[in-house]
Amino acid sequence: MVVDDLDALQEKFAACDTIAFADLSTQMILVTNSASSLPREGLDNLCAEAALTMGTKRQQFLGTEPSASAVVASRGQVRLFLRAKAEPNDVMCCVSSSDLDINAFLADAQPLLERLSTGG
Amino acid sequence: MSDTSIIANKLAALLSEDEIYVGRARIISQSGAPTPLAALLNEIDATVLERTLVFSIDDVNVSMIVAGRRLRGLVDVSGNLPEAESVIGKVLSRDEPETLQAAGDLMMLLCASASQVTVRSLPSQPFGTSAEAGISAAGLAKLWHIDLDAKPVALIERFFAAHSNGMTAYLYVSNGDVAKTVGDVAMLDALWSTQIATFRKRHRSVLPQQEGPRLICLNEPLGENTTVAVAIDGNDVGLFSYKPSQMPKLVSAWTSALG
Repeated sequence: MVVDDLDALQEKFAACDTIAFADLSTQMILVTNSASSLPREGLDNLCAEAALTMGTKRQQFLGTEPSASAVVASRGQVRLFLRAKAEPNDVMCCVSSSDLDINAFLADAQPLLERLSTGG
Repeated sequence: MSDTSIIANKLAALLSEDEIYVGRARIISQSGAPTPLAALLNEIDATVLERTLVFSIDDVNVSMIVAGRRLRGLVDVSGNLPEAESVIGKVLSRDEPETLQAAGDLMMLLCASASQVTVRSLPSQPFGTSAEAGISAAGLAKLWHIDLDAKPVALIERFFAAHSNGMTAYLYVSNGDVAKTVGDVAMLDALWSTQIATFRKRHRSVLPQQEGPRLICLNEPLGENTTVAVAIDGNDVGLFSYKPSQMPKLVSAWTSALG
């Protein structure tokens, strides 16, 4: 189950509060880890931020092509967005405290996203 | 801490209007505003009765004996810093210019990139003789070339100055005007002039609750092997390209700078 995979990733990276699998074409969060503390409105905002920063097939706000990934750092919080290579509308969104090991997280998250995106 | 000191601290907290406390320590400088060393000297200038002021400059604690708006000397510096050895326990005097300069060098070293400075006021402790009055805050400012009324350097400007080695080019915009560029900024300049205003407008509309200072690092926004980051703080905007390996370090530095 997708939620089990997201839970396993969150357990490995305890700095993460929320890890979500989303579809940018509909701007909907499809699944989150079971311990996520974000309410529905927060998840909607997270998906909107992913579309706004990374861009979609239809619209770019920053850059000329949809970005492969984005990291947004604000006071005490880091939000990471990853795009699946096979299906660019599939993204992973993560909300974390600022002490996340970003490289280690990306190394684990990208293969998981590709697997979730291809239904493997 | 004595009961009297606890009551005094609580009264000070109650009387203050805009002051923020962390535990029992009052924040006097956050994210470089006001300038850390100027904030510290202003605390000395505001201290009339003899006290031990304990400044926490990020993770280093500096204990000073202060009286009559003058710094008498440093009694402790945590962390076994070699730069502190020639200063601790010495009464500051214009007759000892080397000690005075060493104290200035130490404080400038500690305050140079401090993201947070706090102060606690504790009872005084025996130090020197009553004839050794120390140096006034204004005198120290003159000796150490510190402008007590200096306008704090903007967050993005400080970030660029401290971390430009992880960047390949950057462009700093203050209040709508390009204030500084380093490296080949043609692509960054194009992004600034064609996309940033629209992006910010859209961001305000969609995510109005996330309008605080933020850093956005994008991987491949202009095709393969490209990186662009946008730093936003009020009317200030910074755009830079960076080495991909440096991204986690830059993000960490940004969140640290925000405190």
